[in-house]
Amino acid sequence: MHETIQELLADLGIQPEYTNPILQQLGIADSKYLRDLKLNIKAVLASEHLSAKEANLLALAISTNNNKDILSNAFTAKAKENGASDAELAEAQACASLLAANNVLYRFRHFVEKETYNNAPARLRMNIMMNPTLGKEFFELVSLAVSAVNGCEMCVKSHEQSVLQHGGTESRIWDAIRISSIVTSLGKVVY
Amino acid sequence: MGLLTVGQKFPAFEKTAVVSLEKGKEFETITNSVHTKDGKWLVIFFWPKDFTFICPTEIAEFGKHNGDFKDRDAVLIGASTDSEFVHHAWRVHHDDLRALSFPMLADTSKSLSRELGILTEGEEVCYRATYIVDPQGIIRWVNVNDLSVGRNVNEVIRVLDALQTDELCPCNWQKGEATLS
Repeated sequence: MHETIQELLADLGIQPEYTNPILQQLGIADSKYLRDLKLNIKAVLASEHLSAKEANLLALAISTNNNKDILSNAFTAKAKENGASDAELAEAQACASLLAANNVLYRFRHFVEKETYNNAPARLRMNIMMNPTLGKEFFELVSLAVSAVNGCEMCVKSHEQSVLQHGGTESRIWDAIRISSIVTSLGKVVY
Repeated sequence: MGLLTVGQKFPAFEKTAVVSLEKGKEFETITNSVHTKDGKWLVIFFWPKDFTFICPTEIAEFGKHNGDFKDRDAVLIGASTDSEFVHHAWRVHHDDLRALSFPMLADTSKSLSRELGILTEGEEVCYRATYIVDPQGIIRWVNVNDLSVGRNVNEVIRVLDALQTDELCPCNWQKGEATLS
């Protein structure tokens, strides 16, 4: 088996036997992309502005949003190793699920820009946003990251503001976005 | 005294309630902290008199929906000015009430009903009043029907849903708000 693939899987805590057609093709061709991907993941997770627990919880939320079970399991284990509680793990995943809903709903409102829809109540429960276990700033940061992946412009703009209002910094936001982009790219190859 | 309404504090109370038909476990003291201590909502509904015709249908209907109230983090309580012993006797003798899963509160002194302003003049029995109280103890909805008009429990659930589904997400940004200046 290809050495870089082995290292990539080991970094993620995924079993060395894991493979799929895309990974096989990259290995056969000895693609330079494998090294880039491996280094990107290491780099984004080793953030100066996010703790290891926070970085892995963000990666978990993005993996959940992207339906990548194998990555969700891997980042759950890594977040746990770094001190995440069951409640925090569950909340990161619940946040991904709720934001997936809100991104669809509000993106629709923003696209159409009609008073009718803007004024119609959503009638959806969002109560986990009220007193998050993860703290408001980090919950908003996860919300922002998921919204960035799902491509809702107004959600991204409003959650970016919200993170800053709750005491977050632009450095933390930028690192969260880097994690989100790389975990999304990882999911194209490890899924 | 006028009717207590939306935005006002639900009065403090301490009353005996029938909570079960099991011997020795029939009665419990219930206070207004029954919901606030756990951060839950309160749905409390009043009826005029035990052993009348329209009430059991309505009470049984609330009972059938108790799961819906629990799902919504709401504590359900039924009440009238009858004593706990009358409540107990009624539950024992009525097929539809035997299996009730929520407390029947005895406002025997009428102090709570009087403070809420839901007593009829003269006979001083309760109108068919229903209150939704938030976890902070603030009245968020009240509905009062005259004695002969039964309630629609689904409407109570609809209102509770509406009260609980604030659009808390910052995505719910609307033109003119300061958030995105």
